[in-house]
Amino acid sequence: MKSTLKNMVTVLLSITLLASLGVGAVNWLTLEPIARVQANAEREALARVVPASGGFASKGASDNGYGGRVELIVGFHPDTTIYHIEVLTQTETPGLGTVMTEEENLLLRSFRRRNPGEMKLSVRKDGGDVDALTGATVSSRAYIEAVGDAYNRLSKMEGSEEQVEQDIEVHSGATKTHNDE
Amino acid sequence: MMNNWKVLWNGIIKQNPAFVLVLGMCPTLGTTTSAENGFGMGVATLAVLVLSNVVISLIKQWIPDKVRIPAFIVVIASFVTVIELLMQAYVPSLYKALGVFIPLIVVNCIILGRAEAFASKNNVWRSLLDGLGMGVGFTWALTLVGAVREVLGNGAIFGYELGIKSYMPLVFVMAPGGFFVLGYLMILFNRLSRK
Repeated sequence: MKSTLKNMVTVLLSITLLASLGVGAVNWLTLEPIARVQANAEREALARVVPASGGFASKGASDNGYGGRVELIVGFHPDTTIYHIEVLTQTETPGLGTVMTEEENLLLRSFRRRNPGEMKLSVRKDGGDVDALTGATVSSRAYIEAVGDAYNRLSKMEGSEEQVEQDIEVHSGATKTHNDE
Repeated sequence: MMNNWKVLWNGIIKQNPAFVLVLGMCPTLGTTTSAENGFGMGVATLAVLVLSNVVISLIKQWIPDKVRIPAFIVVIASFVTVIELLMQAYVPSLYKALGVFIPLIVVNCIILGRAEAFASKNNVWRSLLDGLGMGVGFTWALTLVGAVREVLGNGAIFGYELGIKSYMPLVFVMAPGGFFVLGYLMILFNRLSRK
């Protein structure tokens, strides 16, 4: 079609208007399912990281991942040794940094049953106690930093409140769970 | 004039987007660290390609020549956003694996390339077949590149460990390995398809 100022403006305006209406509608329709999916993922992760015999969970994050923010939730035994870690959000390189989300990966194995307060929290290359993922040192550093963050939040809570009565307490972004089953 | 059957097969073999047209190299190299990731990216691209081809072919007679590229991009970007939202809501596991790459479909040359070279000149039915053929061609190419890289770099295929991981050079999962594998597969493909 031949271009005139009038038809160019009309066509582009109507296309962008229709497109934004369409995208807006889908966004509105998926708002609730997406929020539900995220809440579910977090709840399931929380249930998996806390030992069945009881313990604590705390969230930690780092902005120094290879692809940005790394958020995880760490479950502790009552003696603050680590029981399990689940990654909540990450945008690391597929096949390399994303290994951190897999079960029994090197990072998780380095932390299991150990107390972060008594560890040198860095990768072996930097003189620390943690085995880095192959080919993903930057992602590993971010993971370690996030675990340290989770531990710090937990210790801060320990210091400020002596007892935990409720099932779940939220305190400065960290969650403390008391599991009686 | 090609018949409909040829339009469909064109993208799968003769003008395969990844091996022959060499379009969409960013996702081809970036997402093919495993067979599963390559396949997922291929299917997401296929969906956008079919939808955008159909819509662009439907509205082509109203679009003035000088603004056709911005018009196409708006259509493509809207479909990508819609697919991203739907994936996030209904297939969160796939979204988790491919999330970073989905927005990149907007700038995939194949999609704009087919809109410009095919959908804007052909009817809806043929544009749909072209999108389907090109999408399937892209998907199998990415799956193959991903599978080769996964086997060579991680000793696994579709996540299934072959028990040879410790002998395999990890470089194939990283970016340089992607170039090697893609290059050799292109040679092989062009050699075989010439006959």
